[in-house]
Amino acid sequence: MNDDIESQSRQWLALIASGRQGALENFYRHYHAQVQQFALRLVGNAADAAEITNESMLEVWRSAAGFAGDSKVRTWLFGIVNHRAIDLMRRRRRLHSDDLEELVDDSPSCHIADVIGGAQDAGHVRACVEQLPERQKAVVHLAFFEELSYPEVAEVLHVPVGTVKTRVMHAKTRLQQCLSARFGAGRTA
Amino acid sequence: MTPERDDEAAGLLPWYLNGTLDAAERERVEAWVHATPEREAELEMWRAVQADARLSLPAPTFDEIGWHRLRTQLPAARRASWLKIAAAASVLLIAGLQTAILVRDEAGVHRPLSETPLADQWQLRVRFAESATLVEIGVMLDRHDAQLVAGPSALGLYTLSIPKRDAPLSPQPLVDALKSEPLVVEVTVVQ
Repeated sequence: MNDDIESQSRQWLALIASGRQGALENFYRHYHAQVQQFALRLVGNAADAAEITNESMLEVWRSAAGFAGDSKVRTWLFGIVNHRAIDLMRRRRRLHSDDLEELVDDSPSCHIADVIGGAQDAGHVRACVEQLPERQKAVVHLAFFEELSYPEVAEVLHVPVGTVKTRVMHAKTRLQQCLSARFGAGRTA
Repeated sequence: MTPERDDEAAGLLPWYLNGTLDAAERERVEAWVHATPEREAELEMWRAVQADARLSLPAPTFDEIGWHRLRTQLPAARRASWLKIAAAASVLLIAGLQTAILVRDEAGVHRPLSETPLADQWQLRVRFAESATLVEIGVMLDRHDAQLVAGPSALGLYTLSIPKRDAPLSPQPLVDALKSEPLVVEVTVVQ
């Protein structure tokens, strides 16, 4: 099934490269939801996600001829979306939290029981994922929502696989601290 | 397991849960996880994040308005794309015409006398794969916000100029990003 979709997507790209709008419409219909959801996860609001979706699909229209076929179409497409999202956030100077990504304190002062307690509450989990920096959120989304492998995540984000794993470790620390704090706050309230 | 292997196993937990690790990696992660209750708890935390990821985003319906908006932008987008490619081709042509006034620098690479690097730009020297087309190179340069400022040298090298804003302290992240491109065979830093 996945091979069929990949094969169909490559055919669409070949037709898009030759200027066929109908192929782009089919491509848009198939991938629009995934693009929109990834963009929404990255930027956090529907209006910006729609803008990124539009810009990403325009990029597909412009650069379909440049698709080398070395990666899956979906991986190539998510790479475009990620790039467009970073562009948008940079224009709006919203990368400040990511600038501090490498300065995260990796020695959490939280109790394991509190982390487990916090993870039992879906509301806490969602809130803690939302507070992750965009780059860490992107890794979480691509791994858990799109179910990409870690080499594919690295390809989408244009970073080495070691960087992907580092982002997971930083995300883990932030999530543990956040879940522990929320669970503790709920207990003392 | 060494601390490095510990870190690696911990960094693979999301992919252990999404089922994309190979057998050896799965085995390594399982051995790591089952060693202590804290690690079991870490896996449970990621399992909760995975469950949330699957539930938290509403499935968007097809966006007719979005498609119509996109469709109206297509002709102009394709024209703009060709203009960029034409501009890149022009740079190559001009660089070719400049070969009469090339000088050789200490690295043995030819450069045009007119080349004056900007302070806010990193300059990187790149060799593209022989199979790379102009279209592919144009798309890739656009992706990295890079401009072709000189080349090809007698050694087949091109000089790219990339704003320092993404890597203000060192060009290494840009070098790594370019090296990950299939079209790029080698990258060296000019300044």
